[in-house]
Amino acid sequence: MNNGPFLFLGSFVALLLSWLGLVVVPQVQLRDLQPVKNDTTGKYYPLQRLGLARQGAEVYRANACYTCHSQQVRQEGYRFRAVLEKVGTNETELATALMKLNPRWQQSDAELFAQAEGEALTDMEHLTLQQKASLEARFDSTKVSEYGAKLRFDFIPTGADIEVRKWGVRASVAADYLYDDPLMLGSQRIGPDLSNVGNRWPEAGWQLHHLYHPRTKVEGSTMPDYRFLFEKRRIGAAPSPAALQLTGDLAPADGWEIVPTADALALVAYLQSLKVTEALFEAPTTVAP
Amino acid sequence: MSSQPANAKSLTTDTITVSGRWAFLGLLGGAACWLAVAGVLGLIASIKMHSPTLLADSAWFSYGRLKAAAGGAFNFGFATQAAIAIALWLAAVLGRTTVKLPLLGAAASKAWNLGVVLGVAGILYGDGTGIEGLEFPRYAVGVLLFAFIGLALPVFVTFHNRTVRELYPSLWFVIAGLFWFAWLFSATSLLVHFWPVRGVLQAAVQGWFTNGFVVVWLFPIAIALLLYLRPALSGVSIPSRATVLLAFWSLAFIGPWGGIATGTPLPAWVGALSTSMSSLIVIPIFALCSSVGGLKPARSADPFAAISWKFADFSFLALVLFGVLTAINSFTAVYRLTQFTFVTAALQSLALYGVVLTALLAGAFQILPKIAPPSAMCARVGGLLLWVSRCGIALLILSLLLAGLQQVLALASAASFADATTASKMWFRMSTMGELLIALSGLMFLAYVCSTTFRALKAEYASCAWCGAGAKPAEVAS
Amino acid sequence: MNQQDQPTNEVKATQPSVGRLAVPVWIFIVALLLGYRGCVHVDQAGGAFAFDARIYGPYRTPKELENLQPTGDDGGYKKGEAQYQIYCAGCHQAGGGGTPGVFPPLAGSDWVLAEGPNRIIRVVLYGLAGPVTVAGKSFNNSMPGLGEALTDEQIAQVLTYVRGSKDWGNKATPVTAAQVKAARDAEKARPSGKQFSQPEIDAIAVQ
Repeated sequence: MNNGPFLFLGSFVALLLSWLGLVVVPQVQLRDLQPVKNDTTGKYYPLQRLGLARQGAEVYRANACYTCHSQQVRQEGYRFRAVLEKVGTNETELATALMKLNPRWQQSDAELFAQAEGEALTDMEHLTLQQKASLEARFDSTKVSEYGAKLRFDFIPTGADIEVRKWGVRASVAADYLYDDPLMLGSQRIGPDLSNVGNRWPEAGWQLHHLYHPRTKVEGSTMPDYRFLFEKRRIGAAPSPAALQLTGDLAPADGWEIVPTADALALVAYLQSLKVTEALFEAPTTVAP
Repeated sequence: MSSQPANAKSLTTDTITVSGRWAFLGLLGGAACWLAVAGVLGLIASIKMHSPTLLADSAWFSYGRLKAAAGGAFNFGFATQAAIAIALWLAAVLGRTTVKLPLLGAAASKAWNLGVVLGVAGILYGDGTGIEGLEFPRYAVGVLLFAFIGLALPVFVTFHNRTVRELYPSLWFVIAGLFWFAWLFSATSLLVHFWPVRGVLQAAVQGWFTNGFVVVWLFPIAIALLLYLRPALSGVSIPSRATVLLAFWSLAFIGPWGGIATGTPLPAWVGALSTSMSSLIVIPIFALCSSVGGLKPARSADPFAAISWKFADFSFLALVLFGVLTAINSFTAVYRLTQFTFVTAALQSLALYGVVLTALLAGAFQILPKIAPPSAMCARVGGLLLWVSRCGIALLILSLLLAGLQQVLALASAASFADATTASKMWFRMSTMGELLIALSGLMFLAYVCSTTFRALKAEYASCAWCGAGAKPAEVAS
Repeated sequence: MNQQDQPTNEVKATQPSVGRLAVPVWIFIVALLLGYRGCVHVDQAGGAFAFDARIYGPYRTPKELENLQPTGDDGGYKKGEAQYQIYCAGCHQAGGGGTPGVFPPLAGSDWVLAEGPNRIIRVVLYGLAGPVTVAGKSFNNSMPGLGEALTDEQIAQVLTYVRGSKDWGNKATPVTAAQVKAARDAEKARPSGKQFSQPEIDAIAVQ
């Protein structure tokens, strides 16, 4: 390979392909993404952040909070859980019907289940889509619905982020970030994921104390203190209602108080605005009964 | 000294190096400063990991800002500048020509440094863009884009004026790498600062850049250096041209596809494709292994040859390790556990410190001793630097990897999340030691470049009475 | 130091050269294995090579997502699809295409897409036997009735699916349980299990 133009052209094509594949094609696919209307509530999702929350996003950006906190929930799969929503009026018939669903159940089990209204059926909490469809059809063919019995199948997204850590209710998708600018997905979880923190820790007081000294709220936390977001000042005519309630070593000297700055309040408003629970076509949350 | 082809035969590596000394000293001097700055910023950030109340009252030194600033200082201040120096040197040495436009290179390096100062200060002030790896604010990026033209031009002009028409493999990597960096940097800067894309598309741009910056800009320069240095210092030729060709084209067509993890909230095919391609990075690396992996150093009285060889060896080993770990990490069962943990940080450090930093230092120890006659002291500082930096890098990568693995285990056992982070606290202390050693080696490298600059200046003005007598002119060979 | 360099070392260092050995085969084997693994990964985790912008992990196809949407009131379409897979797909196939010369198709069939469902309801209730012509092709086979096995509601669901299947391009009106009950009542006199023939069906006016 001693041909300069050939070297140049080949390198050009090589990078061009990745540029097209990773940047241009996704841009073409997603550029017309629009907020979706929820038919039940009539509201659009997502909504732009306004006012204080919008300023808070700037504080989050300026302090590079995304270095330690991700904002993306991973979903590994999903399952269905069979729940006997209504037992109806004919218990014997229902027990016979339930027997048809699972050959491993004894008559006595089925009779017991037939009385347990609103409870999940044992051995039927990890169903695939196919299993769920076939069980549903088998149950429907037993005609117990004529006596008012009803079997419901709950759709449950799975994965450690959702089931163990409870950081979110479903996988994060592009629509969730429609108005995020800059986008701060984060690449590390030195701290917990914040995609749905507005629902998990909605309380502003908790957030402010946590920012001032995280270990007052979370034992053994490695998060640094963000004291520069607070102001230490002399108490005026009366103590400020916004002042932090601090005890022990952290408490300021008599006559002094520690109050959050505008930045701290904005940051907390931003954290409170981080809420992702909406069901979308590409990310269903639960299947209504 | 002459650049006429008729005199090309009389050019030696020494005279070529001396012809571009101001460019090399400018670039490597700036790089050394930034390595020290990045080391110190990284050190403070690292201490904050286990002493969270340190500097809690200072917005300028919050953990996120420190990390971003340290990354910017290393990537743009140190790595890019040193890589340009190596690229320029290889273009001249392998093209058998004097360095062209050395003063433009030196001047552009000053402009580049100004850009990095603005960028690092901007991040610390709170002006970071919020896009990881591309945090420099708009005013810094504007300066960098202009300065880059001045940095790249000497390399291309020197390459164009080569007297050896046959392109040695290193030159493929140098020229393509520079071209790729120009595209990566300008295109992503435009999409971040001037025509911003919406929502998750920023993740696509960011992933494409951060991966490409390492894999198709810094890696090609490191590989170019390895391909030159290993055969040159062992005194044998590269056995298989076809294998190096394979390495080049597979890197070109595979390398830039990585960077977007499966599960990123982009359409599923983007992340899956990118992850699949990232595992293929072992192909160019294995090809390099088979072509220059088995070489042994020739006996040499030059202490710097041994230092360079050892740095290059470390870099090569890190490169192979990086390829293998990246391939392993692309399997679903593995990345599901390692994603978002310190394992990812360890892989990144392995690439930036293990592969790139050591390769660039290997190159610097080929260039600097040829600019001004080194003293015995210089060789000792070089030897010490070799040990300090190798220990620091190994300690940092190892501690991050262990912290990551501990985190993975803790998370897998369904411990509370806070416990999982606290569990790796011990390793953070170890990583602080690593950062300290890296910061120290940055300072030592800076001292070395300064002393070389001083001696080069002394040689330049040897005839002046006020400089003192006895200094030998450096350009004896011409 | 410049002047003290080993001359031999220096010459070699300035003129590196390249040999002409072939590429070792094992690199290609590694490439093939990893390439294959990559394709499997894109298939599994990347939406089955459809490059569809609506697919995010862990889902693979738009079809799968449609099945996971809240049901609401679809006239029993989705439940009908499940019934179809159990009772009908064995002969008429999952895609509704039947088997040429053996089992008639349902996709694009004039029997299925008739303006009113009363004929096709009777076919499902009592079955069909003897020579028939469907979409211009002749068949001669026997289909058992499902009137005993399925409730009115289920028959309505399965026919709603068959008549309106988006996958097959069928666009006829849905069927209600009341229509099925009406057909049962009208055929009260007919012994169960007595299959219809084409002339019998043709004699009934489409409603």
